[in-house]
Amino acid sequence: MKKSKLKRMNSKEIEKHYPNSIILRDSKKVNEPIYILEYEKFPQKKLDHILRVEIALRKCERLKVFQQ
Amino acid sequence: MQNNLNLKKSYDEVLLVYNILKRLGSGNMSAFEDRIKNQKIQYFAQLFKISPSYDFNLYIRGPYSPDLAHDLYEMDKNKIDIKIEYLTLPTLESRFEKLKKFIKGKTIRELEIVSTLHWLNQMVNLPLKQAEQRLKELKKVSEEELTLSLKELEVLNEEIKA
Repeated sequence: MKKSKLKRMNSKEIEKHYPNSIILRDSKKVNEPIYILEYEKFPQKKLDHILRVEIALRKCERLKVFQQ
Repeated sequence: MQNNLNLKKSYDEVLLVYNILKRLGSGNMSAFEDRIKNQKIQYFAQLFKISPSYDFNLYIRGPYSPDLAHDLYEMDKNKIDIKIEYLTLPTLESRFEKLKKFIKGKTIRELEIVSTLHWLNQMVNLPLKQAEQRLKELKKVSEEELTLSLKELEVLNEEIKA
């Protein structure tokens, strides 16, 4: 995923625009803008939520999302 | 690098699959037996809900996913080397430990038999007695192997239910 795909929006906007996304919050700044991660190819019905979160976190780590 | 890959699943999903296989001493593609082992471990990893789901069908050597084979070949062909890492979420790491314990010490033949019995009983929904009969026909199992696989199926069902 390209960096440009990371948007800053509130939760409702994210749900509306990115129904296939994992929302990642910074636990220290829960009310601040949120990073989102799209997962277009994820088969939602087959992956349980915790596994989707794991993949999203690993993807963030790989892309160094939180260090940018 | 991932842009050059033609994967059936997203790159990050396949990285997780690969990571789990590697942690369990699998993920090699050079020998036929290694590839069979990959398939069976992935089958169980899905049951323990620690790995993305591939569709499996029943083949001569037990449950097999052509899409998984494709993705692993693709990773191997492109020499994708990964750093083996723990799972981020403790719940998943705990499930991983259960999987590791379950497959520990099992031969490829045993993995094949237990996964086939599970497939027949749980995926095809055959009653256990019919599943046993089909297993005998398909895998030519001995009485000893059958007894062991029934016991392991019970353990498996308990573990994945918990």
